[in-house]
Amino acid sequence: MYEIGPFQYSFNRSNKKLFCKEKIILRDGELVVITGPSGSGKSTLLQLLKGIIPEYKSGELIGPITFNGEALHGEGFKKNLKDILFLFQNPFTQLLYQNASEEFLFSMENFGFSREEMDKKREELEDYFQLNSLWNKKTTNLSNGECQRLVLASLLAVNPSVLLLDEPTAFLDTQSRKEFYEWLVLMKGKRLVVLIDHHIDEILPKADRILLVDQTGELKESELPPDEEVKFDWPHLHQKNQRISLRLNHVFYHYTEQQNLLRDLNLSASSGDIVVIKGKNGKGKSTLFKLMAGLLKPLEGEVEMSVDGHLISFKKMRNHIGFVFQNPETHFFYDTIAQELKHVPESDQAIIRESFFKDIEPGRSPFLLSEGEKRRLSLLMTIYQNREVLFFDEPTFGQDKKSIAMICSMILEQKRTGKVQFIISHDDQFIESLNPVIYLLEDQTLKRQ
Amino acid sequence: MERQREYIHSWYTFIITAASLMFLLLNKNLVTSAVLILGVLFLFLKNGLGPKKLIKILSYAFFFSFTLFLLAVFNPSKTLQSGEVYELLNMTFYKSSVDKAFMTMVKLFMVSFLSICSSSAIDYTKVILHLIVHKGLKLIWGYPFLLAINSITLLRDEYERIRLNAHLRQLPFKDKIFLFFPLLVFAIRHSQRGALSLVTRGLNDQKTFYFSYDLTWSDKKRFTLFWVFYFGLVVASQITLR
Repeated sequence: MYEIGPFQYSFNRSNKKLFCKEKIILRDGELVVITGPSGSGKSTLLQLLKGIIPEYKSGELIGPITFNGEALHGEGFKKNLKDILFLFQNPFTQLLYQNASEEFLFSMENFGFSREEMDKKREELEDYFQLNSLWNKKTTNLSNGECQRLVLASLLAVNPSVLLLDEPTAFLDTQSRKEFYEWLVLMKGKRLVVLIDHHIDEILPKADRILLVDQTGELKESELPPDEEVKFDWPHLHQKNQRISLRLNHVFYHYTEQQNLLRDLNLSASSGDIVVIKGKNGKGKSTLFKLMAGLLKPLEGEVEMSVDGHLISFKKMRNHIGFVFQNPETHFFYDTIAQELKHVPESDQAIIRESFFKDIEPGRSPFLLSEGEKRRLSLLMTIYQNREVLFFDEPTFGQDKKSIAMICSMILEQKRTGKVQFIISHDDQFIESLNPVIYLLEDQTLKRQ
Repeated sequence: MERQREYIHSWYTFIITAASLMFLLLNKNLVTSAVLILGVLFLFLKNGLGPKKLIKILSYAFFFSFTLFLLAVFNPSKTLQSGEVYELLNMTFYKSSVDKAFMTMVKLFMVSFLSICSSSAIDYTKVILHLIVHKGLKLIWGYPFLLAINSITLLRDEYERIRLNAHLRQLPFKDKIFLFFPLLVFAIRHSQRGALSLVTRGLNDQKTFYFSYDLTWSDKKRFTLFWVFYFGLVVASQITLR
């Protein structure tokens, strides 16, 4: 049982605070959802509940946060190692091994499980998390969704009494996400699960309690998060006149000869199109994006791009492309947010800052933003490069409802200016609001839906 | 659950590589060095080194050593600028300097070839885990090493993404100089998060291991055979040099 607060946590090198004015109690067996705007301090709260803060991270904590009556730092941290387990927002940061089976076993090995117990646990979790296909893979070759399933299964195998999950479904495909929520319902009454999740509509009916961290950083109990109508009008962008099209003709690709990844792919899109690529985790969606963007060369077939009816060479394709990578940190080269956004026209600066980075100093390092804020910054940087073909790999990862509405409006404005946009997303509501052309990547090939 | 078997345990492959590099550096007989390379290469190929990669490594090692050969031939030391000379395209080359440069090139080629090949034949994760389980390497040392080794691939991939992103953003040349900056940030953050992951996932001294990482009888047999072969070459090299 957790007893939280009243407390106040002051972030290091920032004016930001996370606080709670009234004591909150989390009981064993509950399913607690933490919600709130992106960047409000939800991940920090989970780290406080694990004891990572103040044990391993600086900042000042005033007030009690206890688990079964004991503080979570110092001796309490060691004592609760097995009882409280934590899944990080980016699962790749938790990987230690190159071999998926060793990675899965790591948590159980740490807590002294015997070989027989480990085999039993593996059998229990293998089907649920579809781990069979992962055992022979290198962890560095896993997709984000596969990696998330693997680390999550590894943590669950230990049978902790508290699970702290930071966006466990962020990279899971729709089917896996539904199965995971069903599994959470099964866990009710057996262990306390505290999770951050932005698929509010799906998770709320299953939750026992909702905690809200608002924009000011205040943590409070909430019956239901305010379901406000979110509308956002993106500033009008300069109209482009170039007609551009991208076509895939019988494209084949694989990394190793033993494993066929993509075969006979055909796709075509032109100015103003929004194309969403759907498919299960690990089926090659990100690889397909790299092929379309000219970052990988197909082993067979062609990727053709034409601008105003003229076919352009494979090498020159990159000059027309903007790419939002899965890991937003890959985008940052400069010391400050302002420097990264220097391409944003003066007329748009105010509305962009107000909407996307309210209360954030433009002189701050982009690396110090929350995961959701980093994602938004990487999106903005790519949009304002003014490229004709845009690729978004999971653009809504870590975003709250308001931010998703803004991203949606941004993409629709790009459509108006005649850009071709390709999106990988598992967020069904977001996809629906774009009214896109949908392709399903299944059985190694693309099928238009 | 089974871990993929190796022809010879990575720990032994590691020792074999170290001993072979020592031999190549100290030995002056190129024939015995070549024979040793062939023997070790056989083990590497059996341990997972693919033919395509082998050809790639051959070309890298040759390019590296040949560049140094050219440097040595065009810039001979004063002591080698005497005796027999060759004339080629109005240039003069001293026989002694060409011979010396050739010997250096062959040695460098062998050493670089073998060391690069070893990276594809040795599973360093297995080496470290073997040392932890059987040789008493402390967890507090072993696991950070493991983290560092496994992050090499991640770092390589991240560098590739950063480079691509710099290209897509068409960064000015002066900013591209700082390409290493995001990579450095990635490396630091990855090590911080990795260390945190070790702690939060409960790494402690009571840890058990599912796989034993031990040496099998066939590993020991092959390792012994290697030493017979190795010392045979040492003796042969001494006899031929006399």
